[in-house]
Amino acid sequence: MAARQGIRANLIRTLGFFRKEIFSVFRQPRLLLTLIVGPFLILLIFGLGYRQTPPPFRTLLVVGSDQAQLVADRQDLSEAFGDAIDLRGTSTDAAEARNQLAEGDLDLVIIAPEDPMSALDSGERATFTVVHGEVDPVIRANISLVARLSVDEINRRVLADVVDVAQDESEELEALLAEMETVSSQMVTALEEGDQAAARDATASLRQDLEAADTATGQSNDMYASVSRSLGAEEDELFSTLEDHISQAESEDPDAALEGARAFEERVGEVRTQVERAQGLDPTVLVSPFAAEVEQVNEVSTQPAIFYSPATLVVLLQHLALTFAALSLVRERQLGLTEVFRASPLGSGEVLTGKYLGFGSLSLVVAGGLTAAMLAFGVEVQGSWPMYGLVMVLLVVASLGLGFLLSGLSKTDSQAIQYAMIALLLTIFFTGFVLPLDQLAAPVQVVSYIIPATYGIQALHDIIFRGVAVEPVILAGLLGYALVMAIGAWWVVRRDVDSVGQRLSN
Amino acid sequence: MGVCNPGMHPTDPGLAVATSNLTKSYDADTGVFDLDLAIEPGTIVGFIGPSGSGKTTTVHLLTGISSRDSGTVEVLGEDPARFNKETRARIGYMPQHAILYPDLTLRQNLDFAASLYGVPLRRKDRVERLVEFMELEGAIDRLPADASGGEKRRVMLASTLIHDPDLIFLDEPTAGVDPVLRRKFWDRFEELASEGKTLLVTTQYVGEAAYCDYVAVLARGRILTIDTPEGLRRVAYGGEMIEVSFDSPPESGLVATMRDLPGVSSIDWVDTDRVRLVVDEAEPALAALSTWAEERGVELNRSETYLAPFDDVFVELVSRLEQPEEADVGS
Repeated sequence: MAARQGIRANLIRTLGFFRKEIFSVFRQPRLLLTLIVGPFLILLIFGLGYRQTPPPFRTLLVVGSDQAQLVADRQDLSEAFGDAIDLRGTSTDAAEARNQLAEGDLDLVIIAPEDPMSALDSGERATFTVVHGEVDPVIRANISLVARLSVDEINRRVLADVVDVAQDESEELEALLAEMETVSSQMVTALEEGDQAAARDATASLRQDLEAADTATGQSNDMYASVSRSLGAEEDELFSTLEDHISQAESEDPDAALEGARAFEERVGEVRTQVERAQGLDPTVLVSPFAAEVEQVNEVSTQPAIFYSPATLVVLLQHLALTFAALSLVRERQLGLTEVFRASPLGSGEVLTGKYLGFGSLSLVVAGGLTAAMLAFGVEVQGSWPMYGLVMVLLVVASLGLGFLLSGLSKTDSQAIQYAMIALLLTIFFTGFVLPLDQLAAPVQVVSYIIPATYGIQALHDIIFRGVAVEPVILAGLLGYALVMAIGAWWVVRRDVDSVGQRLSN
Repeated sequence: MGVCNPGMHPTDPGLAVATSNLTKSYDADTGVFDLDLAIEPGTIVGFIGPSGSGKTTTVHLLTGISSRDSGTVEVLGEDPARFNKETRARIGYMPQHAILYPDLTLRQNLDFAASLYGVPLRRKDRVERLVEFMELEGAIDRLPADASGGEKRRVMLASTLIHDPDLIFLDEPTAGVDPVLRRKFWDRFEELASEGKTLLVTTQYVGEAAYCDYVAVLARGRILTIDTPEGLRRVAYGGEMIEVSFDSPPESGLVATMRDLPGVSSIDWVDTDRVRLVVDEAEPALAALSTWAEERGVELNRSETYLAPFDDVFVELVSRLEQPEEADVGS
């Protein structure tokens, strides 16, 4: 009977704290607005306002006064620079362009090489100089990338033009090869019929054509060979064996001559086919023959607004729960209520359970609202909803525990707020919220795992995007973290609430 | 060994509170030193003394809020350092300052206090009775910020009594409370004592000593004396007092002969036609005084036992018992 009464009294005390925390929060409309409606608004504004691609850089191209062709080719250049660069115009005055950059009217100034041919003649690359005034390291990296891609595109276009010219030149070669194919056929027929005179005329004609063809191919011969090698083919000189075959066709031995003539005919046909194939290739493909294609094993949209939604939810939820907990205990200490608690039959377990239940319920209601907002933005949960719920509960319990522990270190509520803000700052940099965890050195990742959001973000990414079970180590880590924090929180509350004697005797 | 209430000893059986040489020191003059108390159930004990005299420290030691340095203490038969929950539930404690959650109404604060002591959830009637008694009907649903200091004190007292404790510690319960309500508070305290409850009440209103069964006067962490209110008067002045006023004042030499009366230890002129005498016992001294006047043809306008106000009693006590010390007793 006494035991039952004791349990009932325990429940009443626990319920007292639960109700008190709920009443306290709902009595503060501004706090509600800040802590509950605020996160909704943040998620909404983020989702609506985030631009997947950054705005193009406002750019001016500076050219030399004798580079009128570049100005004329502005449209081509603009295409080469791509969507990341908004080419506003061209100028010959570099100083004025830099002034505009300094005044913020431009984001980039691209200065074209003054005399690219001289640089090439001296074996050097001609340089496009990209000038900017950006201080943000992410945007600076983006500028470097855009500059490199733009120059690569210009180089590709130049190469394509060269190939196009080479293809035009090879038309003469193709005509010679066609003629050589006809004559070689006549040579084979003459040898088969034993007409030595006709065969000699044919070989003489072929030798002349061969010489002309060699001259006609010139640099193109090397180019084709090079392209062929680059594409992985074995080295194959176009005309290397024709000389050998024609010499054999001139042999006194009729059988050997016929064999040489047939080999020549076959080889000419092959060469002609190769040349025809090279002529038919798109120059732009030829200079950039390989392309990359990315394939995602799942079909989840990874637009930034969607990708960051679960992490944002985790961070907001952690901050909310942590702040609730940190402020609650400090406030009671500041009000002097711990004195009343110590004189009462209240136990630290009852205080802690009541607070966990009160703040936990409020936090989970907020988590539900944030989840609804996340789904409204288009996030689809690929994995298990029960697992999602479990992660939310563990995250809230872990965050509350951390908050209670921080409140043990705080003497005033402003100190508690400062600790909460430091925790938020750590969360932004160390949990994978903004930067991937892999980019942190291994020892520094220890910091990551003292923040509950690290576990929460990884778990939600698994559940929401990958549709797989949360890695056991993450789930166990979050559970362990929540337990350790609960023990720490119990220590803090016990110090505040339990009577002196109870603390001394244990 | 400190001063103990007369006729009692800390080892007596059945005491609500018993301490012996109880000491808690913060520095040489701050804390509580060699406190001896023997408080019977159903009594009201007042702790009176200036700020910093050790009243609140005493309460904290007896409620288990603070730990002692030395000495022994038993409250409801247990060492406060090892109170169990059942014993704590028999104790009510009202702190010196109004400690209320600012975001809860006074009613919600009272309800929360009831929860702390495990008062069953069907407690509406009990709450309403206390609200009515404390005259809080119009204020109970206000936030503390919208309530007066007196209303907050009343809620604190209601919170202390909500679980019907056997032993009640009240740390300056009447501070900031108007005189009418203060009187009601003391009526309630006397009622509780008559129900067998034990009350330890600290106060700086020395006039409230009159309502106590015993009064302990504290200074510098020590009990200067502990006695009944009447006993304190006797200690303060060295005996009982009678006041005599004359129709026409006699010569001072004639008045000085009053000292020869049995039991008279001193005579003081209050004004030109009135004197106060300190005597061993008032009744025989008044009879002797009447004879003295008849024999000498002195006409007495009035002669009666004089009950000095406790403000005067405490000033006298402190100056007598703590000679070089400045008394800071409020009024």
